[in-house]
Amino acid sequence: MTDRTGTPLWAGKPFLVGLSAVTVVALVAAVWFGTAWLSGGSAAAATAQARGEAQRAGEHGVAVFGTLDYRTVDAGLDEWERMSTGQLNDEVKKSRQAQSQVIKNGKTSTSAKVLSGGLTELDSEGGTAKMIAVAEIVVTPEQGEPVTKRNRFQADLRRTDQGWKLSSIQALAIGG
Amino acid sequence: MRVSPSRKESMSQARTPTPQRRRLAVAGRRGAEVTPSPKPRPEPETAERDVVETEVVKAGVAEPRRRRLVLALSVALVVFTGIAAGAGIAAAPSPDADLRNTALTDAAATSDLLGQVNKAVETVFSFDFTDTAKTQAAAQNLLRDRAVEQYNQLFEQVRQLAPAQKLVLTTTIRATSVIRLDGDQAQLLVLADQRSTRGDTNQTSNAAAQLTVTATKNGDTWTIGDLTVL
Repeated sequence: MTDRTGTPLWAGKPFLVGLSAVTVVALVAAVWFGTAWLSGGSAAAATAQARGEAQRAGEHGVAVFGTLDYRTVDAGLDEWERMSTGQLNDEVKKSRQAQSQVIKNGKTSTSAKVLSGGLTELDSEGGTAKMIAVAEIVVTPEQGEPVTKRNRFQADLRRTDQGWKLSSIQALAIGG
Repeated sequence: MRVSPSRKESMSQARTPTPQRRRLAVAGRRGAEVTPSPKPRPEPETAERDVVETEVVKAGVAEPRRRRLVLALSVALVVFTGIAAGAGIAAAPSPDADLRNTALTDAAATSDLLGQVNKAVETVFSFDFTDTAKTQAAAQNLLRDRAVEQYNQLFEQVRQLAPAQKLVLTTTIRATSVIRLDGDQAQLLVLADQRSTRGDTNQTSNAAAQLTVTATKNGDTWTIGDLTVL
């Protein structure tokens, strides 16, 4: 594009002034956001985000590990594998066959709902956390009334490429 | 009479230079502008062409330099915009980063809250039939609002049975999570064990207790405003 005088628009003085102004604005924005990013104000945000992610994944994990229906036992154990990592994942894989058989023979279905849960430790940089949770567990035999109980759990969490997962889970026994 | 023409002369002589000076002064002042001004009038097209030519020549000479300048500015603009956008996105709090909640992110405040609430729960849920006033006083200091009523409901039976059964109840915290800490408001999950011993029969029993607790800070002291047994 050229103006009347044959000068390309991009070489015109108004264009240069405008371009310079916009570039200066962009520089200011880059410095502003750059400092905000580097000044560790985001460190607290990153930790807060890790806390939220770990807690949600942990509560979901506790519910998953408290749930197994004999009619869909393989799908249930797939979930156990998906929500676990490290040693817990190894254990799930190793005992999978036996566990599946026991549940199928027993013809029970168990489902868990987390009533409350929260982290007790968090190392957002190291990608590890510990949590506690209270869950309502309903055990339904093939025949007979469902039994409801309250269980409390302690779990370890580890961050993986697919998000936070359980690396251990135990029921917290009385006086243990 | 000689005087008069000479006067006239002298007057005319004296007068004459004045307009000349004026003219000169005027011409001199405008010199640069006025002198070429007659030219464009007879030949306006040539003059315009001259102007266009010189501008084109100027632009032609300046073009490589301007081109480099525009290119450099454009590159800088793209780079700065990229940095600003990237850093802006990285620095912006993520939607699920609840920054008002400082549970675990503020280690000192979390630890202070945990210490106070754990101690409060252990104290108000521990009971010795020989010294009921101690627990009563602690409950008065540490519980507020709904928690007072909730606590009385939980403890009514214990209080009635305690003297006859010689009851000693001890509560031990197993684990506590600060779920939310927002300034002077907090929400916690407390997992505790309760051991009760009947002095009359020497029987001891253990039970698990799970509580969600809402706490409020007054000055340096956290008090419990809500107690819900799970």
